Amino acid sequence: MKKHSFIANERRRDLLILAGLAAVMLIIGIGVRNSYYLSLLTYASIYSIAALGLFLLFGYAGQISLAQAAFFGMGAYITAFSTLNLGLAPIIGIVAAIILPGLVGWLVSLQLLKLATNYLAMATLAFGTISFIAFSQLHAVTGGLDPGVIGVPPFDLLGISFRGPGPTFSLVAIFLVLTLLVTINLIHSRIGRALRALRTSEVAAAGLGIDVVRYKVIVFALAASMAGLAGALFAHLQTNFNASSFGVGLSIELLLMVVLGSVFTPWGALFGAAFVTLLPAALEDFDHYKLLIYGGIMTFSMIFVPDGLGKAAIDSLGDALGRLGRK
Amino acid sequence: MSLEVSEVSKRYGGLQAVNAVDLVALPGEVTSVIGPNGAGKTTLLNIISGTVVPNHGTTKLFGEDITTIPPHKRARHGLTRTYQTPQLFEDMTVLETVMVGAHLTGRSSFWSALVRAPFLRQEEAAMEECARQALKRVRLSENVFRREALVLPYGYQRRVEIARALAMNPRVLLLDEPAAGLNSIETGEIAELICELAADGMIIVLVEHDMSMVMEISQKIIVMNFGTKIADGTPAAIQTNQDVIDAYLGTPHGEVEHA
Repeated sequence: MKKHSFIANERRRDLLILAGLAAVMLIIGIGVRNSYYLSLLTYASIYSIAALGLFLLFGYAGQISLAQAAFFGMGAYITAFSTLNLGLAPIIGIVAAIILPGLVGWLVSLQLLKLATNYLAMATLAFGTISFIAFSQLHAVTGGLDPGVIGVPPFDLLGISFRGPGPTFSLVAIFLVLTLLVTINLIHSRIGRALRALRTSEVAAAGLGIDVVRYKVIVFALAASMAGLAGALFAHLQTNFNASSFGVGLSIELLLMVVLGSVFTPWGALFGAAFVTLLPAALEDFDHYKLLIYGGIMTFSMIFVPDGLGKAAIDSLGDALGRLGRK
Repeated sequence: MSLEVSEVSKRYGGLQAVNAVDLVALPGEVTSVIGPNGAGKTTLLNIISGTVVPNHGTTKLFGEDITTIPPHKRARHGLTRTYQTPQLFEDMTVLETVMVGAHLTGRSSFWSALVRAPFLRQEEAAMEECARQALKRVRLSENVFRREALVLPYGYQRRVEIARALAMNPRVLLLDEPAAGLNSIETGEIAELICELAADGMIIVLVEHDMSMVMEISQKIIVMNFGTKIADGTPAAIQTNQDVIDAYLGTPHGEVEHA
């Protein structure tokens, strides 16, 4: 019976990597004191959460969306509104920022997912644009572009306040690990396989009893929830923000993270998010040439690592471990 | 306890793809649909599998009217199919692909999958076992299980597709040209497999151009031409039917022998 299951082994491998990542994040949270580096890593982690949602939707189920920034923004405003205006505990704000964008995503996708490919891209782009306009214009709730939202309190739970760069990073790290855990759970289940199947052939998937529409709606809603969570964490990190953070540019960056990182493995989303967040910061010294170099690196990595940086890294890690195992 | 198609018709604009066709397929039998290209065989199969809704007529499965229910619900009645060009999933290993076929044997919901409810461990193991049994049945060996299904040779792809269908333990299996593109040895193996499945009590509906295979394994044959059924009966009766010879088979000592 022990030959059973490279399938189960793949899940175990993912869980091991997750444990390793959690350990590294713990060390960073405790050890790193430089607030600039910490805040960069916090941003990268927040975008990783949103990118993981898009990874499931686009990478796994093959449904493109340029509306992730809209759900990200909803999450941020829901958290801001429930803590500032309603005076609710931050944890309630975060839970609401997970649930409500998921509900909106569910309702919207019932209509949008009748479309496919380029048409779906256009429709989600339209939804993203409309949401951005709403964020900019609904001054009563969002503060629009100016002044926006001011003074979101730091997250606290059971008397522990996550104030300052270190604790904020730890908070985001906890949510990132949880998001990765549910992602890993999902992809190693019949639901995850069904999503991967319908990406290639909806007809064949349906022929095997998979309710294609339902699964697409579910994964769209899940991606919206993850973006909402990321937005809520963003609001706590930034404390002050306005609608300009949730434009279509963010949706495109998230898509870039998934494509650059890898559409085949959830780890790709992390690599992509780190790359897109950290590279511009690292290139700061190049001044005028910054965008040129950034674009060049993006282009070359798409040419030479077309399956994504994350997949390449995980595969070589797997090979190395395999070689070690054989010795 | 059978699959009954009555008077189904499907029109695409000016083209009458299927015109008032009847078909009854019984458990334990191979019911074949033959005819020239463009005769409406695949459309008939699509009507039975639910990807095409007919303009007229009804489809009944085990006494229940399934004419308008969508394909994924037909699968719950135990009906599934394979495709003329194998529809395998990208970036999935053979074993994973066949596990998708076992989808309906699992009970996990989206929520229980997200939190990895304890029963998922058994469910995953059971689905994998189911897939392994199905792969064994089509005689694919362990060493291809980890290969990506789409990079395998054509003959293997066909078997993976049949295994994927078998993993849901179907009661009705529709096969759309399972021998297309296979050599004679592979065709013989597929024919043998189809006979075994029918012997287990499955309803098999076969669309196929390989006449020697069809004549050898079918209990009943339906011949279509220009969307209309021109004959049905046993292989022996079909082979001597003058309409069928004129429309499709050719003279008994002519083309069919060399086909």
